[in-house]
Amino acid sequence: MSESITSRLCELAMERVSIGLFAVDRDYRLLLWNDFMQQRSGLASSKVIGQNLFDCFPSLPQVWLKKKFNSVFLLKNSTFTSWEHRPYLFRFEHDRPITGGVEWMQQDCAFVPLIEDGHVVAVCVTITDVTDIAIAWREKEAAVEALREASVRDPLTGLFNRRYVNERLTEEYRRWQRNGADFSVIMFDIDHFKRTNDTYGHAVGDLAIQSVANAASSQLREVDVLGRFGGEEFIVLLPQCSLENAYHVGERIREKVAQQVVPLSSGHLVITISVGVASAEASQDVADMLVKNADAALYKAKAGGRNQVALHKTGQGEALLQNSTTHPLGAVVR
Amino acid sequence: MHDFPFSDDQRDALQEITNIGMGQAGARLAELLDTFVSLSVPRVRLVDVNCLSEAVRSMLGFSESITAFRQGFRCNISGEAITLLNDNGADYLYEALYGETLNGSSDGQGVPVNKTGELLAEVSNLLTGACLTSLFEQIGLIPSFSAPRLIGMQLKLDDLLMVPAKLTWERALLIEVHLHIAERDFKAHLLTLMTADSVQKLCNALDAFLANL
Repeated sequence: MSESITSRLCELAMERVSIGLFAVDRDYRLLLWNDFMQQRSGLASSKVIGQNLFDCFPSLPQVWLKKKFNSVFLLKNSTFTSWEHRPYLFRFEHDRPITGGVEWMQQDCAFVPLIEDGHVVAVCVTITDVTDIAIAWREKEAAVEALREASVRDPLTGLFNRRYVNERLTEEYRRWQRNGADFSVIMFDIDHFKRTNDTYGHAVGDLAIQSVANAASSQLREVDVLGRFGGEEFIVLLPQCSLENAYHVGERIREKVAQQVVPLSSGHLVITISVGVASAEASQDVADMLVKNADAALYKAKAGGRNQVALHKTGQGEALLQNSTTHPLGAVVR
Repeated sequence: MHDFPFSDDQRDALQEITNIGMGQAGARLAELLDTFVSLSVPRVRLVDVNCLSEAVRSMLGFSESITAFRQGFRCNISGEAITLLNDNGADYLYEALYGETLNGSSDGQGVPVNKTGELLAEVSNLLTGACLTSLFEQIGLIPSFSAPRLIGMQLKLDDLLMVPAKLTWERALLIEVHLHIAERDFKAHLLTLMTADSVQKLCNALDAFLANL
């Protein structure tokens, strides 16, 4: 009596459990096929028991799966597959067709040996539906990625924020200290920005900032780091770029900004920027000095009448400036 | 560093049992891969978890980054096994194990597969399963295993071991084996972690093993 109840309970559990269960012998003939497998595959156990697994399901990865079974027969040891590496074994529909975002049921599988007299006579496979976990994991990964992106960006312009630029500045400066060559920094800000804000309102001020951000982005290389450093102040890190080349980059940005217009309700507004350029020098041992030097050059461009590019005046910069009568830089550096 | 609470006899017995177990594990892996597999003579050592980092470093003596998996085992004695792997020779092993090339990121039916991840999890399972099953077989126990879970890839040994708070086990049975497959030096190391309670049960099982000699 109690034994028959036990075996009926086993049958009930096999029927109702929300885990796929099947088993094969050494010739891959199916010995077990529970309700979960019947419902998901659409094949009744009466159709598949005694049949070869691969005849019933020609789309299974046969070479791989046979090796997997063989390792259990040989080693008498369980083996596993994870959705993280192989999303599924059987192409089953899952229970979240609308909210899912993944095409097929994600599955974790365990291959367990049945050992009789020291030999593995069958391998039982359990298939666990881990679609919910897989979806949650993917959502989490996407959210982390979005947060990571948001944490380094300025919301108004989409440029990098000051914190990220400072991190990159330290990194790039160390790289320059190791590898030598060139490393330059450009600082620029919008001329008479306060007046623009006061006259036309903050909305127009925001448009001006966005317009400058777009103009600057269009003039830079992939490796350059463009950030919004303060209200109307911007910074560009230019790895592997000499002072002279950085000057030309600054000049291109200045020109591009001056060519653009910010549309107003009546008419439009032309904006200009002042630009300071500095390069890393062997005598400096902190990255902050580079920013201070670019800022000092920016101040010089302001003092010189705005809408112009100025170089920080030491070392190579000085040499360039001393030749300013014949050098193209002479036209703008006053 | 002392191997408390093992007596000299128990330690010898454990070394002997481990030797036999690893020999069997190597033979089974060789049959599966149909190639020559050598497992180094295992070095066995029991340490308190707070000495683990130092002990592992002196045993393994490597500095390159590693991939680590964890896997629970459970019978009378239970614990957690950690495998440390690098993926040198992964392409060769993948073909030997699955009959498919490691190249590409999908199976024949176009299902996306992370083959390197799959391979490393499999090797971790093979090594843990073969070694611990063979070892426990000698003392009449049949462990069952949970699925291998990734601890991390490209880890430094320190990332894994420098934080004793992360390891909730009290003692670690270090079994260092070096897996060498065909001409390739595929490095894999096995660490097992157990509670003091399980270590006591292991001692009892070793006594029973010694009494039956």
